[in-house]
Amino acid sequence: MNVFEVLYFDGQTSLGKQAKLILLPHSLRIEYYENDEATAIIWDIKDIHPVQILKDLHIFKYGDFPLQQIECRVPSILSALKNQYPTAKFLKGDPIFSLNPSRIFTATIILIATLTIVYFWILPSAAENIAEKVPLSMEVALGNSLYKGFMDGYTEDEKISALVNDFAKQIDFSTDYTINITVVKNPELNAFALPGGKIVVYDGILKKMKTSEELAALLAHEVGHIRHKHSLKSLCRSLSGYFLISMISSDLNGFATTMADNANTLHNLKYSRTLEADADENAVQTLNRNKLSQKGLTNLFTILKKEERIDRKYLSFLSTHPLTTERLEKARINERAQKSFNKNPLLDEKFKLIKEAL
Amino acid sequence: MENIETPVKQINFLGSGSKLFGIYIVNLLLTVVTLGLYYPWAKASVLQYLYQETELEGSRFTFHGTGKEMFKGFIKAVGVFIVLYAILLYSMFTTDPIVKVSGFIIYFLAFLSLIPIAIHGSLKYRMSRTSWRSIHFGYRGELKELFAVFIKGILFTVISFGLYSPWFTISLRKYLMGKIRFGNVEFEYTGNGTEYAILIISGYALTIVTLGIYSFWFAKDLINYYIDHIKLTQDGREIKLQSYLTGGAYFRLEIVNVLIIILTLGLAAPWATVRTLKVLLGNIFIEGELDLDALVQTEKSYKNATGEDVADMLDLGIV
Repeated sequence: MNVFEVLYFDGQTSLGKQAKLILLPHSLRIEYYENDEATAIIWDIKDIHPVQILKDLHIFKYGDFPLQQIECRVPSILSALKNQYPTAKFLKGDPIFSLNPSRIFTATIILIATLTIVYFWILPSAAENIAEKVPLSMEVALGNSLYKGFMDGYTEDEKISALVNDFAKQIDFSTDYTINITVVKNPELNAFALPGGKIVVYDGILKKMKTSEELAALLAHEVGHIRHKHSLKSLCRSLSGYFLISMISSDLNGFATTMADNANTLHNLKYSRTLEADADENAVQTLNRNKLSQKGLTNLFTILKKEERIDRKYLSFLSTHPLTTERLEKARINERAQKSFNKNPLLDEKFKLIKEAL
Repeated sequence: MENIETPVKQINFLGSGSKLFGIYIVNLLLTVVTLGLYYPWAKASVLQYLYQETELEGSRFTFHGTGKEMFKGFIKAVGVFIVLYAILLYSMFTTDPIVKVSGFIIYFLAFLSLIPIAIHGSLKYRMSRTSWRSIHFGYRGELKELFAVFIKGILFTVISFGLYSPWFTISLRKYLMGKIRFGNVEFEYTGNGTEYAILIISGYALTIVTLGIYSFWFAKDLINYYIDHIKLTQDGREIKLQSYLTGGAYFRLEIVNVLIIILTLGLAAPWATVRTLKVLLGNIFIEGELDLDALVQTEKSYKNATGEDVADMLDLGIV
């Protein structure tokens, strides 16, 4: 018998009406008594919304706002409907609410694989591509803005800055960027490059230098960062990683997000080590191009190594720069491989002026 | 007769962690593959699931929102944020100090005014798209009035160095809740700024004194304060909501949730969500003569999800 006891809601009030549901060839007929008066409603099969099945409760909705609704707790209703209307769309329900465990498992595996590929291959290369395409003027503007922010906390030694810039003019860095160097008063052994061509050198490291080649090597290393747009690339990379994490984490909660953020930071640190290695490579080539001794780079790393008070071996994965020992090792190999170099008297002269002014 | 027992009703959450997990996983996969474009559909399916597993008197709630509606809102919201960030970036890089300062001011003001716009739009959408036995909820607030509440609140909060913020929160709740309808049932918020301020100050003090342990009881107090001051009126009859959540229950809920999430590296977050909903809803009682058979459809349909999506991007947790 294709008649079922249902509860019918008409969309006007919340009062449920005990009704009979009758399965007609192309429609459902709902019959109930209201104020002792027999009433019938017809639902066209094609306008019924996808069925909701919640254990023994079947919910059917119909039409536009406000929807009419039927609740039925008779277990056999679904098979009866399927028999009567084998092709009806509303009987399929929404597939996302009826996933079986094997589908969920497959989806989990595909998800993990996709995330791995996106995070480790697709995003990094997309980020680098974007960084490559940023126009020079924007890079310079970004660099200037970062420079202003940084210089708020430091004092420039203008005299030495002028001398170091003069020194740098004698070296062929083979770059289109206009290199501009600022020396700041600070005892730390540090120097860094900003996007667009600005280099900041702490006078602490200048004080430790003994030869012009060491300064040339340091500048060449920093120019390497500028030429290869390293800051922009790592910015794009960490932003894209952050983008992926925030996309996923809207579905996770705060704790998982924090963990993912930290993992992302570690991954970026590892990336910055490869950038340092690239910049070192640029220093090697610049020294060769200018026929300067590779000893400059070796000495530079020796200075840095002496300064490392604690053995940071156990931090190798976490450190920003590749371990100085490693870099020193590499520089020594390059030094041995170098066939010829000259002493550059002009550079020596300029370097002497810097040392005297310090 | 004083000893007639007050009728009590409860809202139950019947969802399961494993079902929600399946939905999350499929959603995540599709969201990643579509570079985030699937997000509105993902959100719709989660809300639809959570609503349909929420039961009152044997009938389930329905979330009528669709991915398509929220996608349209999503696109508009993305447009708004692109313009905002363009203004911000331009002001950062420009060298003209007047343009810079005015750019920052415009950005700041626009961002600030987005908050009431988002709350208004989101609540209006969410309420209109929620129904139970085909009777829809509705939010009848006016954006202009909400702006007035907001401007007053922010002004006083700034002048008082933040001390006014509990009163601001309460005035906001009073306005928003007072404009909610469920058929012919009207909502009202009866909280009081001074009480709320005392609750917050003592909560902070005790949390510090107990080295953080009290924070669970503090959180419980805040939740209960929110729920206990919701009043419903139906045909002149007053109905109260009452939350009987205890500090111990809340403590267990949070500790176990954190463990579940840490041990599975976040993968089991859906189980934590289900637990939270079960505990929070399980402690709420509707006390009074709420006639659930006499609800009358009073609200119009509203399908603009822009506010909902802006609220999402601002990370405002509203409902």
